[in-house]
Amino acid sequence: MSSQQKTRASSSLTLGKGKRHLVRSYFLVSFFLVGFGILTSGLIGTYYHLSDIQEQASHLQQEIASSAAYKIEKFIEDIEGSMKAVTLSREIIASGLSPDIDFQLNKLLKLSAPVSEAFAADANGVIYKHVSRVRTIALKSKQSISSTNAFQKAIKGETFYGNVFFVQDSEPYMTITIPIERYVGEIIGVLQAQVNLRFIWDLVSSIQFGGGGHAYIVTRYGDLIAHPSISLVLKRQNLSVLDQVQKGFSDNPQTIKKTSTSVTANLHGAKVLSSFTLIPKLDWLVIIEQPMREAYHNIFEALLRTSGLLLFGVAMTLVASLLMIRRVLKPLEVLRQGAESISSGDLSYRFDVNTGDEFEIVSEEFNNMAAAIQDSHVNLEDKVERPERLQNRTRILNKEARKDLEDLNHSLEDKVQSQVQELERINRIKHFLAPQVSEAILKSDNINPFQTHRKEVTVVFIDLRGFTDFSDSHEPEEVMNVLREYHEEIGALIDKYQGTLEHFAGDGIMVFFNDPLPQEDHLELAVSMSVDIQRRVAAIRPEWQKKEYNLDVGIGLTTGFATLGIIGFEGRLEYGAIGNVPNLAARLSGEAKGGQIVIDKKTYSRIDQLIEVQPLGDLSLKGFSRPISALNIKSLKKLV
Amino acid sequence: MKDIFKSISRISILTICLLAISFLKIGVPAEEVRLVGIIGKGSEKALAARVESLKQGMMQYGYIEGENVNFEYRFADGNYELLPGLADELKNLDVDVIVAAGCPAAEAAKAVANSVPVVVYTTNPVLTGLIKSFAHPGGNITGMTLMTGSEFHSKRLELLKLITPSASLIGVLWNPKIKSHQLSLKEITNTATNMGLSILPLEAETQDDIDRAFRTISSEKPDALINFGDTIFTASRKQIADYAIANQLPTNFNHAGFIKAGILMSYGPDPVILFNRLGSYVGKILQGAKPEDLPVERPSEFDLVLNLETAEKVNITVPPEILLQATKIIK
Repeated sequence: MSSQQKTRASSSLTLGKGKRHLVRSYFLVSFFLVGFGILTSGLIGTYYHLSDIQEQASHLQQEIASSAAYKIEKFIEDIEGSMKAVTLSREIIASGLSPDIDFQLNKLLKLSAPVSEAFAADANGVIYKHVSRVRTIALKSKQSISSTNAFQKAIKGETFYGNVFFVQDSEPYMTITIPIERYVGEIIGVLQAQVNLRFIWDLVSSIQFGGGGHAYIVTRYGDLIAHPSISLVLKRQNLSVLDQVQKGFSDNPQTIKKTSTSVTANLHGAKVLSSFTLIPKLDWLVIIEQPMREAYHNIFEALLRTSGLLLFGVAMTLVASLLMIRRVLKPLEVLRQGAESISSGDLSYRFDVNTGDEFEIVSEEFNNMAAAIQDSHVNLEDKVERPERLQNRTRILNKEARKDLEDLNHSLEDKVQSQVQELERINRIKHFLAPQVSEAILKSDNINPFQTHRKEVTVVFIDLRGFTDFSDSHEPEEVMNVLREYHEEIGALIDKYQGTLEHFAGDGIMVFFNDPLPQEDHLELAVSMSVDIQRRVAAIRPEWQKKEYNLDVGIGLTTGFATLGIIGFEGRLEYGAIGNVPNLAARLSGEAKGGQIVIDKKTYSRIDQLIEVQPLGDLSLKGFSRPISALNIKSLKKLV
Repeated sequence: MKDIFKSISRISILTICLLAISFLKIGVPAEEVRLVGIIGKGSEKALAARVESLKQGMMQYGYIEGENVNFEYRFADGNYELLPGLADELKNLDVDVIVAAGCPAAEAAKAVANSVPVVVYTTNPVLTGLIKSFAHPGGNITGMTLMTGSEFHSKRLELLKLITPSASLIGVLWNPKIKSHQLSLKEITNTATNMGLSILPLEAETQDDIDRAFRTISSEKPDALINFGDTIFTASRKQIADYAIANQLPTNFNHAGFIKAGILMSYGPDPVILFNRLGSYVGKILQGAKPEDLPVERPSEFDLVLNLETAEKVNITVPPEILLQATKIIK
């Protein structure tokens, strides 16, 4: 049955209302801890990364700027090289400017595609020959260029780089003027070439890096010479407003740097990371630009990475917490629902929790409990079959119950009575026991003084010597007074040492120790008491002697096993000790002279370290076949 | 529990998707198919190679025929009066840009330029009123231009003089119907005078007119022959070349296409390269650039092509300077 019922209750794990904070608190704690940790480390890492990236980006740009400047300079130098080559012709070296120069100039056009036209002028600046790709130049005689800067520089032996000008106000050109040397030192004229700068555009356009990183060239006047977007050049876009242009061409020594990187705005106002390099020879500024976002894209990536990691960490935490909570909440829910089922009457519900942990144990116990409840319930059901039978059973039960009750009453009465008798009996022992002893016995559970038992005890017999003569020779009242006084003194001392008084027999008193209450040091107590009694007697004796009472006390003391118990008959009960040991003690006391405490050898061997003794030799005692070696206690070695 | 799981999974997936998008930088615009109209005075065949080059130029901007761009061709086959109507047709087809090859086509396209961006290939665009200036064309027209008239003419005449030092009368094949030719003729006449040469204008509006030109040549006997660019001359190049060779007439035509047919020399920019650059203009305009922001460019490289076989046939020794400058030589 239970296996069927096992599948009955569903164990869905729905969160209802109520006190269900586990998931939330656990999740929040984990989330904040993990999230905070990851965020902090991510931010710190990113902060340091930021400065690294900025440096990297700047370095990269400066590298590119330098390399671009180098390439452009090289481009111009190549043209210069071709020009120089053209001036080194056999004819020129031999005889200076000659018709051969025509061929040489055409050769230049052939060699150097950027050169659109070129001319050679003599040492006076008169143009000798002028060639062009696109036109014919009719040379006006005496047309001289000697006033131009170009001529004046070149004729001195230096290359002159002209300013950039725009043909059709659109296309950028420049002139390069070099000296024509017949041989070294002999300058016979100048060669000027007009360079179509659109041939630089491919070079400049090819400088691309990062995403959107590009280069362009600007003159001192803000004219754009080259740009990946050639329309800007042909449109005559002027860039003199740009920060980089102003800085790059400034004559302020502080702002002049070979290369410099800064964050600035470009022509469209967008934020860019920009570097520039000046080509001093040409007075051109090479500017490198990269959109901020591209330059620092690593940062964005790092940030995205950090956020990704954070999200991942959060997700993992969530998953972990949810899984953990499921392990806890699910069984709890199962138990809760099961308990609910059981409490609402479905006793056949059994839990099916196989988590292998404490929950399984608990649910097993739940099952046991439910089974037990169910059994009893089933039994109950059995008994609750039909109303009449129920009535019958009730009647029978009632009868039985009543009878039981009567019996119970009877037995209770008996019990009470016996208990009362018991109590009376017990109370009587107070007569012969020290009050505290009898109290202790009454209080304790396992001491029944009415039961005879064998025990090791120390028995002390106190004999009043000369009592018989005394009682003969004195008035009874006097005897009684003395006895009373004697008994009071002795009694007080017995009480002091918690001895058990067996009987007063006129002149003899028997006291024993270690019964009915156990006394571990019963022998020591007995000895101490005896010594104390003799001392007391010794103190009283002078009085007695004054009154001419010839009384003395002799004590006999023995330790060993005896049979003890309450003996006698109703009205005359006594707590007695029977056996060799009490007998011996009695005999020894008989032998004892006044002031003596006589013990046997066996007893002595037990306490020899406590007492000073005087051997009395062997005594033949009535009731003992062998002579007993006896000793007298003179004093205690130390106080008990 | 499951609800929380679900909602958190949803949020996580959403976030991951957003991250992925930002990583991948998805930003591809919707691919619509653009339409480019091409209008020319001559025949389709004459323009075929150049149109192919135009399409190549457009591919650099990501426009591939059949994928995201289609072409509409309107050729007048020599019937100039059809051109305005053809331009209108293209406009009504809602083309995204019109490419006008040659001066007549450019003029016709100008009429519809306020509705459609126009890219032209012509000479003297400023003087023929197509653009305001090279740097800032203004309006809705831009494109490539052959050399502005006068300067280039002088170079061509110079080359002729180098080949035929004794030349004094130069025959010029031109098309009176083409506005830029009218300007060029004026320019070359001035230039020639400065160079000590005289010009013999040889009108030809259609291919048939070329025969008439030949007759003028045989009667006036010029020392050399050059042309202004027109498709009718390209179409009749064999005819012209044969005639020139037969009559021992040195010739200098405007592009290399003539040389194989037998023309002695050509000097000028390579039209195929120019059309490739036109493709860049079209590409830029399709991507949203305005024609007024696209400056008009001039060619920077010029091919000098020689036919040495023809040289022999017409008894011309090509001077070394010419040989040196030659970009290509056909034997």
